[in-house]
Amino acid sequence: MSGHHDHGHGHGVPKPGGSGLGSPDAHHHPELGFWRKWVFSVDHKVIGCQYTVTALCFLFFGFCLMLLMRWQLAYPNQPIPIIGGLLPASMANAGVMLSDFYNSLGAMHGTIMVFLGVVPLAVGGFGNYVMPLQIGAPDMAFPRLNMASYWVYFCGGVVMLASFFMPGGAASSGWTSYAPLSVTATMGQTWWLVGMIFLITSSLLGSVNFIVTIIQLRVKGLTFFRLPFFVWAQFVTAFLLLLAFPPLEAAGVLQLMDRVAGTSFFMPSGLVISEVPLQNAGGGNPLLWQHLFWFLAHPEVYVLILPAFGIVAEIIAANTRKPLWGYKSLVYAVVFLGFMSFIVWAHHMFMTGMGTKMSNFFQTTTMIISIPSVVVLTCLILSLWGASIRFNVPMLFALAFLPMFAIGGLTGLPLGLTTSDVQLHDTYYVIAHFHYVVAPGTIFALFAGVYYWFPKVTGRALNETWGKVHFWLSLVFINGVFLPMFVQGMYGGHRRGYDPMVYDAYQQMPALMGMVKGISWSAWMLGVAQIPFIVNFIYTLAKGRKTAENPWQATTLEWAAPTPPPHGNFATAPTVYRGPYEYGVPGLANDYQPQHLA
Amino acid sequence: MSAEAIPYTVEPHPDTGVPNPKLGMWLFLASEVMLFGALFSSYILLRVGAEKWPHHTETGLNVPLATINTAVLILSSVTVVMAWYSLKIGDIAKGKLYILATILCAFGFLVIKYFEYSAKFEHYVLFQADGTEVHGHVTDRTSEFITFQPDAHGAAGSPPAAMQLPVADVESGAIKFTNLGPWFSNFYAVYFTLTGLHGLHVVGGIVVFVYLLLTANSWWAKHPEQFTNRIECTGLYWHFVDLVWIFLFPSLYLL
Amino acid sequence: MDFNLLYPYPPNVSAHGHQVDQLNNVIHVFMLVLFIGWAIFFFYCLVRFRARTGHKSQYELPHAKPSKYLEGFVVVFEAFLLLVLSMPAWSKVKNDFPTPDKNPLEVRVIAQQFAWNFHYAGKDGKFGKNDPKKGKAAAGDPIGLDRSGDGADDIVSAEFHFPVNRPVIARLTSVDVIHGFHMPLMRVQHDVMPGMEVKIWFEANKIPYEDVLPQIVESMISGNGRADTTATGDDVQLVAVGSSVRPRTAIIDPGPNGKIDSQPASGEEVFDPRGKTEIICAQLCGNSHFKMRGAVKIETAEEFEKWLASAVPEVFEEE
Repeated sequence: MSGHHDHGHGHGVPKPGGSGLGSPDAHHHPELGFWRKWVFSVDHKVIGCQYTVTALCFLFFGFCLMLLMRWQLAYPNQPIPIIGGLLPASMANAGVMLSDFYNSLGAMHGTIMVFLGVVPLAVGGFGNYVMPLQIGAPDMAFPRLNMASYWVYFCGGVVMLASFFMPGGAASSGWTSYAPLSVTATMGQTWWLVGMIFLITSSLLGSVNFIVTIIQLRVKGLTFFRLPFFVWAQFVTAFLLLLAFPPLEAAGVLQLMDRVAGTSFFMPSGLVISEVPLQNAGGGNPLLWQHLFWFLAHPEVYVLILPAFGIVAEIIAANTRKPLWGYKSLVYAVVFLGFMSFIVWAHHMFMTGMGTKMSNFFQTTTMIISIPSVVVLTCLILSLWGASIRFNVPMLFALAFLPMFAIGGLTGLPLGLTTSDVQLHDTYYVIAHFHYVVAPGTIFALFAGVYYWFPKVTGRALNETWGKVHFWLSLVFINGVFLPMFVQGMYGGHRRGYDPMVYDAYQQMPALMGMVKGISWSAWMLGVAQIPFIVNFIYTLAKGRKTAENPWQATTLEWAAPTPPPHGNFATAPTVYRGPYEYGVPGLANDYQPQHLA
Repeated sequence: MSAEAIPYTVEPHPDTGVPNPKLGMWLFLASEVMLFGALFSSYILLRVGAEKWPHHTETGLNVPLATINTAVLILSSVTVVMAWYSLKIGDIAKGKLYILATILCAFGFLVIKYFEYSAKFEHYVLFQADGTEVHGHVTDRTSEFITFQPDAHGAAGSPPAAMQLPVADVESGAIKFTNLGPWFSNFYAVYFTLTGLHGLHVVGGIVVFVYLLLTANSWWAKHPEQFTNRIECTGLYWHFVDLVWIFLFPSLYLL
Repeated sequence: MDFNLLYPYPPNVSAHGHQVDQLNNVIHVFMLVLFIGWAIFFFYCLVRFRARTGHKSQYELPHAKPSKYLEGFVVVFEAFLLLVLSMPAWSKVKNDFPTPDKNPLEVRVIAQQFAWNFHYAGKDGKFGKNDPKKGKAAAGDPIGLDRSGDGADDIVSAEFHFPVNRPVIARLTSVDVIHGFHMPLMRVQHDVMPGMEVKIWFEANKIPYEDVLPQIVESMISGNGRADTTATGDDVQLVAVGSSVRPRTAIIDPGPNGKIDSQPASGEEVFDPRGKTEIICAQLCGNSHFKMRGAVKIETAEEFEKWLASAVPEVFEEE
């Protein structure tokens, strides 16, 4: 593979004995028009790119919402510079953000990042593009369903964005939408619920597609235990999406009924809002919403991390030039993690009044679920032993993922035990914990994936120098944002608080408020640090350096397809002869053996 | 992308023994089990935790009508199996007939549901100051007054007098007067939500069956095996919709 | 409070709080040990196994025993945290409510958007009924208390008073949405749910007080004010502090006789050293959630009885 570089792309170009798997004959199908080829395409690669671009835009937008919030936190009740005056009266008063708007920003930041940003990128983007290639398939099992998934996601995104323009603004009851607050909130919440129903439906359709594709379309010789770990991660993720999302869909319908049809699923009797009694039937239970919500939302956090594990594993294997340590342990660990993720949800509800039988059960399952995470982390770190580590940009991000995820995972421990959680619940400690896992965790893994697979998708390589600038600046500033939050939380700094100075800790310790300011400045600098990435991305698409077909000398099947892979991916379906990480095999001329070479 | 390019679209996979669409349908049904399971769990939680919950004889639900509906749905499950069987033995004419029968049964189910729902929406309850409920119907409505005709018989056996309720008072909540919609009580909320979502699934099934019926001839001519599989998969979905009703009917109407 | 990076907790004034802090400390030490261990191994690998000319990766590796020991250690330690440090302490907090012989003080905490109301039973020890629908804060009756019958001597206050060294049973409820009751200095947190009443209990064994002594001395020197302090831990007297004072919260043990004297000489302004600790609303409850602060006064038994006597029949104190 290393000797011959086949730059095949486009349809029907004959390959003079190239070692890549050339393009299939295109003359079976008429050439598709622009709309069918690039907009309403059923090709998993086009759909994957659509998901990627849309999700990256949403990630950026959601991030900007937070940058706005950080101004109010660092400089409470001061007018926002530059744009403060441009905000309408519903959002700001003389440039000072209103507390309603602050709450909307918070709720929408969470919603957008999780449901419109990270999951669509990790699963819809990377999963869609890479997984069928890695199993040697011509496309997903249900290409039209795949297209439908993307457009339903897109509609959900439009609905969510439109909610900002509703009277009363966007949803403002947290991404968790606890009743009764969410039931009594303004119209934006109804749009949030409708948007969620679109997004959940998109995920459900996608997850069916992923599971059937992985089970049914693996090429000959590709047994389950020869699958790249990335595919295993996507497989478990798809099951989580399939089985955990429906209860939230049900809950969303129930909350919509409460809001729109006057039912009282989550509304107890006798509620009085601002001295006006509510005119509903009553008899409902706010805890029912929490149980239904967290039944999804806990597996959802594993949906956020599993694809990241998958991406990091691929990149570590390719850049250590040796097989991953403990492949089987990794697989068993993530399958076990998937099962366990369904029985820990109430650890988000320890303070709601549950009895000790229930809290003991959930504390125990929470402790148990930390074990597979430790196994995964340990296997990935042990993979560095005896390696020959190449420090390219994807590897830098993948390596940084490991300690960052470790911090995130470890800080889940005091939250998962009731006695310590009593002081930390709902504080900035929680925010720091989950952001460490998702932000310098998953998002770094996603960046790693972008830099890694960009050459396969486009035939061009992102600039390494600017990639390193992006990496180092992001690493420094993201820790500047989240590390101090642990301290802030331990002092009693609560989350979702528009003006920190109301409370003693901030009034009595200027150092704490100084920390808040430091976090805000780190966040703004983190925003600036993304500029090299955005410019690099766009510039390279247009004019970047063309690259070899398998620049990382990787073994997995996607690197055997032409660059970029044409419709149908492989002219003839490859056959797999070995496992996915045959790097550094002794006695060979090359230091790697691709899966498909006999 | 043509079907042949993606393997196992029609022929079964050697390991799993099923083609892609059938596996996909089973997975989709697993998620539907979680959806209705969540709703049933919510029903159980709300009912067990409720201070008062209507006894099944006082719910006002029409059990005979719902029993007929149950029979109609079961019949439609039989007809869809007959459709698949007819196609399997190559009889397209019978197959189309049975698909049509399934659609008609499904429509019948929805029609009966319509009568059930409208009866609820036409049934009003006036909550009097002493806590008693007066049930009846609205016979006239102007911008100022609602004419409410109670159902119960008066002392002498003749119908009681109609009442004129001021619209302003009803809208402000000074007079508690409402029909039996989902807002009436959590029982009705559960009833309408569960049967409503089920009804939406019936509508979905009808849409797919109608599409398959309308395109039956051209599909049968070009891809008969795939068409048969499609009927089988939709049949699977249909059996699930039927099964949900089998759970809904006793738990809402009989228990 | 002092900003202390190595011990970033607010002062603890509760009887059970040390268990919370202890568990947090143990977990964080464990986390640090694991993390530093991992990090050392990680950086060692990055340096030793970096790609360079002449260096090759090892394809076959011997099975590493250390990782199995690590997993085993983690499992055992987590079991220890769970079974020894967390579950017993939590069980005590949730299940071991103070029996009547301990003379617990029962207070109803009624949360609303966006204020805390504290309902005391008064001398008869019985709570009157309240109907939130009838609550009118402007008229001085935020919870709609029925003043006939048992409610005649009840006290409804915006400030949470309770005595030190006596268990308190708080019955939490909300009239509108979910709120959160968190007193950081007491290591007590619980959600406040509408439509239900949840009981929690706690006991303070110290009184928080604002430590302004250094600043008093400073202002004496600069001539801004006059201070007369005999701070022996039991008795503290303070007068007229200047604006340069920045109060910090410290704690004092009231001592065996439980006396703290803050009676001023006439004509002097008294700065009450007993800091008002606070309740933070811990669950997003609307657009003024951020300022739903509850004032708390932990005091000696004597002061508490004095306050109870003075609070009746005046029902509601504006903050």
